[in-house]
Amino acid sequence: MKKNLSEILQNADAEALEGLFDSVKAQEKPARKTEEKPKSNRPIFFRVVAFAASVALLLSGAIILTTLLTRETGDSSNSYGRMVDNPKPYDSSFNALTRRADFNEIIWDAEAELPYVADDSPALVEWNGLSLSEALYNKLLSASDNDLFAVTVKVKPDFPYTIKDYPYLPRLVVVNMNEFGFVVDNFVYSGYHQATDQHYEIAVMTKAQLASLRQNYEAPEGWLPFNFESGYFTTLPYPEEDIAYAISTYASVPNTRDAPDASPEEPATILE
Amino acid sequence: MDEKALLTLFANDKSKGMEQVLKTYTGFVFAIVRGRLGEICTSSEIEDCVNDVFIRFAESLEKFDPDRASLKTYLGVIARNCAANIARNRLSTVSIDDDLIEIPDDYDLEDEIAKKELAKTVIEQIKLLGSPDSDILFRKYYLGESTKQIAAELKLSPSNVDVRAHRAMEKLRKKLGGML
Repeated sequence: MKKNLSEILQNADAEALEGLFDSVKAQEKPARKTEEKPKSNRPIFFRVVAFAASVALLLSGAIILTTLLTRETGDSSNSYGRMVDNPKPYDSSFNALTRRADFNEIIWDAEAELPYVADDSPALVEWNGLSLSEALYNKLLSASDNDLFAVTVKVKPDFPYTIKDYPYLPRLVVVNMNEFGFVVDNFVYSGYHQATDQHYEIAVMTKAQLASLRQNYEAPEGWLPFNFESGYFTTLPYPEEDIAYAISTYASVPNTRDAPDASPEEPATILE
Repeated sequence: MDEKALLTLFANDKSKGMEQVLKTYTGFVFAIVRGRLGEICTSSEIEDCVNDVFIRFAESLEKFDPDRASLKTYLGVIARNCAANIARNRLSTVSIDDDLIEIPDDYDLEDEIAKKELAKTVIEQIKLLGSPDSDILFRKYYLGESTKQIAAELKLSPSNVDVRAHRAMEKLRKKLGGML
């Protein structure tokens, strides 16, 4: 049988709890207020899913790409650089999927747990200023401009959570120019993947937004390099019925945003 | 004044002893009560709860055994229980799968001694996790603090607290799996 940890611990006596109160620091009691309304009830146990408006990342590993249907909105800028297009997609299909209880099992792939990009990475293709694997480049070629890519990024759990908290983050992020290191202002979901024991952020953007990602971001000290190494890409196996449901439910939502031109016919440059 | 001196004072002069207990531990008790009730009670209600804690302490002082636990811990337990009683009456608690521990079906959870022993076993393993994970689990599942409160007290980010809590629960389940 299963028991809630709170239920188990409430039976503990003082002897068992000895030492655990040491982290509790005394607080100053405020002056008594004469009139106060009772506060409303709120659930005290809840699962938190953070939707960060801007997030700072240190990437210690792979970026995994998968495709969804969406629509997008909005421009914004932050004090660390100019983001002409802030791809915060208003994607009802994606949001609907994130509300599922098994969302984490749908989107995360344990096989995608991969190490650092090595300095001797294989030859990459350059596309709109991004260095991509040939496999990803081919995926992008076949995608339409309205297809949505969910870029999931592994985050060091101890790393600062939002760029607002750490103004010098762009410098801190890029500790090794050969590592992944970019600050992206478009992540809308963060989650914890149990199987890989990792914390992830996920950005959802259209192909057009992905194409304009690098050119629209300016770090204070210059460009931050991207390096999408081929071995780290996995198309995550969304269940067929989920994609079909998303398409049937949301495919008719109009795309109201003018996307920059992301021509799939742009010549690719093989990087040596 | 250390605990030993305080208890001696209590034994000789209950009134002065109580005065010293209030002086020494009010902030500590307030921290626990506020941690649990801060989001659901007014400051007056919280203060009333703090007062109740010390009343209960005074009424139960003969049960306190300094060889088994410190005075601080004893007060902490009373504070936690007082706050939990109020919270229980105010809220409906939603249990989520992440908080569950597997225990054998033949465990007699009607037996008070068995319940205390189970709690003791679990707490021993929580302590072995070390800081800050042990502090996070203690604050979250015993004191009933929110992620935001825990993050502020332990100077961690809220997401870090959630991640650590999740991992710590996984480790705890694995450790307890072979023990219970």
